[in-house]
Amino acid sequence: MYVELHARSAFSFLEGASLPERLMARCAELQMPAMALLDRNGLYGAPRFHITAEKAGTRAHIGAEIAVTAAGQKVGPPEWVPHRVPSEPVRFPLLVESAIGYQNLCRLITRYKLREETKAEGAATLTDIQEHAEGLICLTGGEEGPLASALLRGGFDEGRSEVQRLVNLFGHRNVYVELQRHCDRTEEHRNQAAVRIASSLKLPLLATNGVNYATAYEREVMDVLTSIRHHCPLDAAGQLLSRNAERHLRLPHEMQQLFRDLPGAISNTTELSARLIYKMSDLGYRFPNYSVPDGGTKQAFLEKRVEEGLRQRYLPKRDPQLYEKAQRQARRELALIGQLELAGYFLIVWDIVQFCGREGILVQGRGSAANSVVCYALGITAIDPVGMELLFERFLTAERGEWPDIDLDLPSGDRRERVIQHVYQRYGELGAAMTANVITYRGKSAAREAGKSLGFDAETLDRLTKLVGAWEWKGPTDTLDASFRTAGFDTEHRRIAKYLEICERMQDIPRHLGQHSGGMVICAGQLNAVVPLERASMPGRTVIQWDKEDCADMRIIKVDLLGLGMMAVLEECLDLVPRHYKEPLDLGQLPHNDAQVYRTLQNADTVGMFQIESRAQMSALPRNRPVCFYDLVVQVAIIRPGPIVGKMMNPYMKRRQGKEAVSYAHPLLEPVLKRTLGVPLFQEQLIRMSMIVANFSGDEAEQLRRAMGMRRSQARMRELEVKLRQGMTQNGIHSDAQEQIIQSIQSFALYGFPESHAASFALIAYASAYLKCHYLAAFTAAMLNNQPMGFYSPSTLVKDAQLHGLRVKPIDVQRSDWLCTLETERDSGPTRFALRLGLLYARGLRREVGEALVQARNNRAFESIQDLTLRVPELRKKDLTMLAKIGALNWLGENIHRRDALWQVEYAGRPTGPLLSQMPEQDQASPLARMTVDERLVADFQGTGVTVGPHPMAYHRAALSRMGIVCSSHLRNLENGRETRIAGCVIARQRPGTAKGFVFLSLEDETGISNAIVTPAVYEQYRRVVTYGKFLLVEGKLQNQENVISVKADVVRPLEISEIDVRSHDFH
Amino acid sequence: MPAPLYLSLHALDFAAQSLVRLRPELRNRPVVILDGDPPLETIFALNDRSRSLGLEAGMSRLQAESFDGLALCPRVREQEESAFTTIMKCGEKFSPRIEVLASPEESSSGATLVLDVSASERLLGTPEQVAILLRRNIDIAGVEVSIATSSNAYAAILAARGFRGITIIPPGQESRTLARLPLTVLELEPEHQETFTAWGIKTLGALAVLPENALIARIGQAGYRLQALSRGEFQHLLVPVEPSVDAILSESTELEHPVDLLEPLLFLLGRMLEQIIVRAAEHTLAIAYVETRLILEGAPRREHRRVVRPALPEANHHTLLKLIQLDLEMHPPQAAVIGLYMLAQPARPQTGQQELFVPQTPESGQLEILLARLRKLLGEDRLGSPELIDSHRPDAFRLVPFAPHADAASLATGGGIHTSALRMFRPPQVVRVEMKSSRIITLFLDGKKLPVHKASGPWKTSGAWWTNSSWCREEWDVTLGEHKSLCCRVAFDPGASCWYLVGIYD
Repeated sequence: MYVELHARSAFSFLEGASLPERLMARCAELQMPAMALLDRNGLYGAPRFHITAEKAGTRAHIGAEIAVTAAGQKVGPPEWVPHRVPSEPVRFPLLVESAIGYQNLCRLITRYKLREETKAEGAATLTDIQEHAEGLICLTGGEEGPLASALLRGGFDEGRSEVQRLVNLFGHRNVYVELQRHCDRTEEHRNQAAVRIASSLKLPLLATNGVNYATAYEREVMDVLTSIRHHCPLDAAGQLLSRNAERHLRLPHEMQQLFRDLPGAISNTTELSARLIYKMSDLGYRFPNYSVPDGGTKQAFLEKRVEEGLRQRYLPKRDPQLYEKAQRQARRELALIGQLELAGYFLIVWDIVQFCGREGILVQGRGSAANSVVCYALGITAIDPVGMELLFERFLTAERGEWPDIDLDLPSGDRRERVIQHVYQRYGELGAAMTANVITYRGKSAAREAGKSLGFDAETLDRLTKLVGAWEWKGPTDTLDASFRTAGFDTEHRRIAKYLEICERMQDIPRHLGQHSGGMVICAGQLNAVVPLERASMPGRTVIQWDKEDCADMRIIKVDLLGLGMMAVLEECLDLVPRHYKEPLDLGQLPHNDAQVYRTLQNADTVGMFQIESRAQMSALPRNRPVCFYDLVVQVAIIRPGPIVGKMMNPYMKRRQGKEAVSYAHPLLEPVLKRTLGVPLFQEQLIRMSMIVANFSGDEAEQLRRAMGMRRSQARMRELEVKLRQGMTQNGIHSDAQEQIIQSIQSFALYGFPESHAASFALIAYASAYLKCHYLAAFTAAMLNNQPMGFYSPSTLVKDAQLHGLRVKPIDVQRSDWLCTLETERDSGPTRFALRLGLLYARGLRREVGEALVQARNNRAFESIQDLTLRVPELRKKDLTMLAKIGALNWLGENIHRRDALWQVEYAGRPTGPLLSQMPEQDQASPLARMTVDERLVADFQGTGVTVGPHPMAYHRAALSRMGIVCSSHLRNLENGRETRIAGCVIARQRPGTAKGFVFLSLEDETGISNAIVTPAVYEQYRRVVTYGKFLLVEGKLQNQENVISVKADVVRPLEISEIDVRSHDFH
Repeated sequence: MPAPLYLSLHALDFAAQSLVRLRPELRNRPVVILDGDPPLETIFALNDRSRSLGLEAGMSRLQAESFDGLALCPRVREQEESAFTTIMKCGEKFSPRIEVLASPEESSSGATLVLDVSASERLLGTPEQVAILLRRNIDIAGVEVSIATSSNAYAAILAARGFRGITIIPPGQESRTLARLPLTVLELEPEHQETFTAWGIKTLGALAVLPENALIARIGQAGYRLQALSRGEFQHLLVPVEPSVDAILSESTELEHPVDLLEPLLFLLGRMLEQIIVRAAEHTLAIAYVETRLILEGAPRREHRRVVRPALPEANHHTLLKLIQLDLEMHPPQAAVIGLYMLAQPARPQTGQQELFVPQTPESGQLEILLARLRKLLGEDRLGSPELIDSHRPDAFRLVPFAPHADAASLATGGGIHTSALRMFRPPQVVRVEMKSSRIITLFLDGKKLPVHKASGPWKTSGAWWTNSSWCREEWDVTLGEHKSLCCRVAFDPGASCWYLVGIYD
């Protein structure tokens, strides 16, 4: 019997070609009882390796190859070869024997990784090794190991003393002399020396195969990865590539045959495997203890906070029944929390929320946490789960054996960073870290890297990667092979054929480790004993070596601190509204039945509103006609791939409009589905349905949801389905109704949306709608200040605000701040506000320069362009030219137009010495003519991306009308089915995965937005125009049904009206 | 002194025109010329008809193919050269002083020439007559050009670029005539283009009227130059085209009778070579290589082309001739010769001083002749210095031209301790092998059966799997013979299913 004890996976980043799961699966296929994974400088792949082993019934030994600085350099290619390979320290292959060993290994890796100031491989010192050697077994390694390096350096004697050093570090019992046989003469010479050294030091021999991939076939991928690693194409890689394809997992009897002269080396593998008792299920992870200030228990402290919170949340509602119901629910939840000992977890999240409150940072929990009244009472979430009858079991059940998941939405940018830094400070550098995000090779990256490796030139690569289908929808012709043929490549040619094959095989191979957008892991004691930590590319951040899914699998709890642009907008409004409108604004107390808001929603006038502004949402809003908050919850949830693919949207809409009777598969389901008119839309409904019709417990119901949500758990799903049917039979549900229920559960289990999540989002959506309706200037300013976000470009936001009566003023160096600001209009009547564009919209102007300009102006207004250049020396000539072009300097003198400013700027920005720089020009009169309207528009879009003047289409309206083009606001007056021509600048293009190749275009003119639908056939005909055109003319039949208006395109033509560089949001 | 007079001609879309002149059926069709490696060609040049369809230079073939009725033609440089030579020849009839401002090789937009036709009025007629005559001449050759004349060379050039047909600029009318032209004719630097676009300056007239001092204060001396150009006042120093040194280093002769013996040919070649060497020496140049083309008798007309390339530039007539002789002896023409053509490539002569304490190396010319003799004796591909190839492929080396290593002496003595050496068989000997339980037990060599006492291996190598020349090999080191004295390397090629004796260890 043989156990492979030295294997690298693809998590050795470009030094292994198979995923850990694949390696372990192959190990099981070869009937090997165990296997060890030793990735380079980390335990990146260990969780997956461990989980796969558990499933396969094999044992996963954990370890890592640790780079050590003082042990020499890794053996490289011969000196005469042309490559300059950077020298790398040798790596000690270390295997974990016990839990202490695991902790030591994690600490060791963390120690040297965090010693680096930035993200880097790093290397341990011998002292580090010495301090963390307990519980670890050291092998002498293959060509990357210390013995090979020592033998090359100084022959047998040096090799022997190196091994002796390992013995001194790890102890005589814990060093194995490793032998690998890859049919290579040089290696065999080393082996001969190693055998003699082992014999002289009385150390055991250990056969391994230094595995880099699961099967010999994967050697090709390995070679490509090697060439990528060394930035050198395969044709030139020479001896950097592997000599042969022998580094794969071998059958035990093959290994026995290979080491027939040294049987002890084989038998030692099983013996050592037996010694490695550590299993990763024993991670020793604990969530931090929340220290209760008054010395009581955490549970009591939590209960007290919840009680206070309930009073605060419910008493103002003046509904004693609701309050009592909430108290009952809270008692039930607290009992479960007590039983699961989760009080500390809730308190820690509460602590973060408290911090945000103290710092004035807006925070709101999302996801399933909104099902919990405890979370609501603690201020973690803003949705009343009792009032909304949300299902707690979706959040937490006793049997699930899994931590609850709380996600917090924070304003994106600096404020979120402050919260993250607070968590770091609170729990220490070794107590908290971000979860990783494993970046893997995907279509484009694989195509690019493999292409480089196979020697395609840069231009070819650019074109090829562009050819890799960019749209979301993948039509039957959107394959790599088809793209190649289109580009004129012969896919039969070996190199091309191999390229295609390699691109496919590289998919999902890890490329590097990134940082998750917001997942933070917190640990009691030291997190670095649970998982290695390393530096992130971002300063001040550390990441653990596992991603979000791995953490969940390993039962490590994380809190998601997610950045949400709209939260930043809301937060900014909280400042702008009281400051300018002199009205208090409390987002928690917004009137939830505001008629203006619902009227706006019903008219789909939702540009800029959170989650309900997309084209699809806009086309659904007039059909849904929301009249209360719950309608908005449904609205947020219904335009999702789930309900659309599950064909739930149309039945719901029909019932909503009274065109279809509300019916239920069984009367028992009525209470569950009543709110959604008999159509299941939410995950909570699935859970409730199974609880009601089949008497499932909350946990079983949650398991059913999960099993159905994962295609992989088919066995578990069948099991639960049987139980579901049994339960339904017991409840006397007829078999037809049973089928119908199961079908409806199955059809949306894959894509269903949690009601609590939808409610949390709907709350933000409502707040954004309310602010837009009542405080348009403040809302638009905040939206413009927090770009990029949402569905539309700033230009569309500005045009939409103008259509709603807001005056938007251009950038003016005499008035603009860095951010967009509000200005009070001085005309008679009620106070009106105008929006002043901020300097941040001047393209290319750096923030520090903009702020320096504002500071100089705050001291004293600028007198002239020369005054500006002298007082703000940070302004480069390029900045001045750009400011002049966009008209921002027009107020630096009397009757200055943009060209005057450009003429002066060119003089002021000329390279000159200090003596002449202050000398004004004798004759400042500019000989240049004013910009024409079109020139101004071009300059506005080039320089700011927006124009505050009329829409470009407005200047051509007369001509467009002569061409029979209807403006968007008139479309609603035309009858359905009429041949229509529309035109506008493209502000969004979509080819959603659910739309079977249809393309949706949003065209903007001076009166609003019109929509066009392009069928796949028409798209093929006008592919180029549809994909790249900036101003388009669309001809086709008008579809005007239930206030949902669009034109089904028959012809799409470019409209040559301006050279404006309008930028559309294309969703590929 | 008579007033100067310059005539400029500009052939727009020259590459397209040079194609259409040979393919008149394309005259009324949109044509684009594609350049680059297939399938990644881009549009290099195009005619007016394709431009009006929306095509532009730089578009990819794929983009061009989406236009209906378009003639996509590959770029043929020879056609362009030939058309350009025709224009030059036409120009030479009017003036020996011609400057090429944009050759087809450099510019995709067109070819521009300027001719100095000063003081030729009596000989050729008025400027208008000259222009008409020249245009007619070039028209006959199938190329359409715009012509302009002016006493200012640049004014003529800009007018030829900007106006179609013939433009005669009377003296003093330069600024007025040029005023309508777009700024693009000036071929501005991107930064100036950007500035003028921002200023809204679109024509030469608009540029000409800007206040001069203010303009110079803003964009420096370039402003002065551009404004002078736009006013037709910038003076031009004509640099006429002269034949290059490369062009004079060629000789040709036609023979009265076919010659099939080498000796008389060498006599003639020697004289030609002598002429070339003398001309090169006048420019203090040596010869980097000599190309000899022997025109052979018989139809169709055939050429026997040989190139002699010494390691260092050579100026010695005897050495070069000897090298040509040895080369022709190795590669004799297959028919009698009726004409000779010789072309040499000049290079700077190699100079250097040898060190005092370094042994004298052979004189380079002598060494060259020796090597040529050896090549003749051994074969072309059997002489040179071996160079290792960076590959795991067994016995991977290539022959490179002989060049002694600068540190050859140290290499010979250094290099570490080797206890054995492998003597390789090239080519390897095919053998038969008997195996048992994946072990070699017997080797059959030259009809002898040799028992294998000990074998180590297989040592496996494989690679280049991404090419059509992928390889795979397994090697064994074996001891053979009764006295176990023969230690050798055998290899198995799985691709050919064949065993080889690769070499013997000392």
